[in-house]
Amino acid sequence: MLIQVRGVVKSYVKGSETVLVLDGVDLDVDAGEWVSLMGPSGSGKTTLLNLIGGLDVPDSGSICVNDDEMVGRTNAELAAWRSRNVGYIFQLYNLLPVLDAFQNVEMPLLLTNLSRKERREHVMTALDLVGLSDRIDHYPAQLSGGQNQRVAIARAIVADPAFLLADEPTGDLDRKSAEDVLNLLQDLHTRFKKAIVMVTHDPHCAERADRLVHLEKGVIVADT
Amino acid sequence: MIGILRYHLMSLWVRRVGTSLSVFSIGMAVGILVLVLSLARGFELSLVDTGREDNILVLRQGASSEGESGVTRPKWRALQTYPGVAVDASGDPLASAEIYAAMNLNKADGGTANFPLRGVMPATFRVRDTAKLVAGREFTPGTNEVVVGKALLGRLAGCSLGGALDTGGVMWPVVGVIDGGGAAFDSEIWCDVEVFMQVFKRQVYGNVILRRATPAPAEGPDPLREMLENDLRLDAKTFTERGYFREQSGPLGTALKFVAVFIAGIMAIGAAFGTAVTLLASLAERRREIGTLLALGFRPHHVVLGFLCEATALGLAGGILGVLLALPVNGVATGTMNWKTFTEQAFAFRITPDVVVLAVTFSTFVGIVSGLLPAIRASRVPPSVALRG
Ligand SMILES: Nc1ncnc2c1ncn2[C@@H]1O[C@H](COP(=O)(O)OP(=O)(O)OP(=O)(O)O)[C@@H](O)[C@H]1O
Ligand SMILES: [Mg+2]
Repeated sequence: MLIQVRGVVKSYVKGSETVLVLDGVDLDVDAGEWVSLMGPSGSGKTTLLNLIGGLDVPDSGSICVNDDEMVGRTNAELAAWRSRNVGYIFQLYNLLPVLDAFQNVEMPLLLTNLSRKERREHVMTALDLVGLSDRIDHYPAQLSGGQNQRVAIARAIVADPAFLLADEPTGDLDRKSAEDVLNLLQDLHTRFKKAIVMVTHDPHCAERADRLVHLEKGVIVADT
Repeated sequence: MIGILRYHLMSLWVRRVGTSLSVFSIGMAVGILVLVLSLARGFELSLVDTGREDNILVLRQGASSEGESGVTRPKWRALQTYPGVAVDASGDPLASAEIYAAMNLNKADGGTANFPLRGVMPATFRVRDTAKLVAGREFTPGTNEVVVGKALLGRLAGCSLGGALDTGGVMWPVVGVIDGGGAAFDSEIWCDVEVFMQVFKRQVYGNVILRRATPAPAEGPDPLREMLENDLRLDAKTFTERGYFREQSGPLGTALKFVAVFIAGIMAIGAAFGTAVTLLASLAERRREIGTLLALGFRPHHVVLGFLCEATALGLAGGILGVLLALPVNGVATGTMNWKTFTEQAFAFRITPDVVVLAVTFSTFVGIVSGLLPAIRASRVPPSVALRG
């Protein structure tokens, strides 16, 4: 078992009222498994993804990755763990606009002990994999949405993490680019056995996964 | 860690307008600081570097400057032949009696100001040899002829070789120019001490300058000076020539430095606020980028350091800009009042390395201070919130 979420509760305080976002969520993800997470807006999908990635901490419950408990760790520990184990993919790519494609992909490697030359090799491999090795000196503003998302995927995999967390990775793309991105994820999934947890609103996208999980009002209502 | 700096420096570059405004405001503060400090430094150098360590200046007990002092002829005769005073090749003592006073003279550009007039004996040219005759000749004893410090050329009405100075009806032909190497003598006028006393109706000399035959001991009390000061006939107070000038620079140099720190301090506070506001605005625009950095595994302290580096870079650039802005005045001569001798003193802005180092350190400090609040703010943003934009 790669990821094991047990009885996770998460609420936010907004002004004077408390909003219960996740109300006891259980979820297992096997190594190399691709899970799609669906549900209406506000159902807590992003929140769950952030908890798994250690970007936020639950009020109660437990999250184990590779049998290591994540809950209770310090922010610094979580950050260090994240840099080695999690690849993040966002709806709006979240590339740093001031850096070019190469430099964006290199960012996660700056946290490692790799030499300049080794970093260069890793970055080129990742960009090659997403088919953008001819665009290394392009800035995000000079690339299409689909290309930007592919750069972001290269960044997510460059440090060779165990799993990818993707929050509506095709939400901002046209059909064709969305298809490219899904094919790319498929490729990473089959060839490199990456586990993927992908939030999506699009049933067509969700079908590409091994498993479909429905979240509604903070609880999982269907798991197929 | 070094790698992430690229992101921060590029962010500064991308926000060129805000960046330049910050750099400029810091630069202005530093520019002013450098200007006034270099003024203070030039003033100090003009006095501190004057004179020799082995010349002894003798004043009357109780006088704190040459202008207030008085030495009678019998005392001068005793001092001239005092044991321990050096003699030149022909056996004449290297000693000279002088009188020093502030003279109200016409400036070349209109108006009047006080300038130092020093009545000297011909021996002064040998004793105070840090002042060198660079043009013309020494004055002829017994005449009104004068030699002038090179900084006075063109500043005073009639002050050129062949010209003449006017002290309310008495004319003083200029026959020579002395160079004190940027020091106090550059602003002095030297005439014959006996003529001085006749014209201005003085009965006594002002001070005596002596060259000592053997150097003072490196440490401990100086026997020659002690002997002079303890000699009841002389009623004397002594300085080394250098030490005397160093002391004269005190109050004005300090006042100028105070002004420098005060003005630059106020401007720096303004600049620091401006820079902090710029950085905070930039931070607000970049919340999602910071969230992204955290999602990639960068830690809050990386973000803090990154923002501090941005602020430091702004401060450093501002410091360099400020020094460059001030640089054109380096060496430009000006004059100011020396409040101890009440004479106009010519000196130049001196942007010395230590002034530059101080200015850049100061601006970097301003940058860091202005970056503290934005940096702490940046690190407090929870990543899940920052990612929502
Ligand atoms: N930091 C926060 N402070 C307050 N409320 C929050 C915070 N983060 C999330 N929420 C609230 O939690 C609920 C779930 O948010 P979440 O982003 O997880 O939903 P989602 O399923 O991803 O929705 P969408 O499909 O629109 O992205 C929402 O009502 C949201 O307003
Ligand atoms: Mg969401």
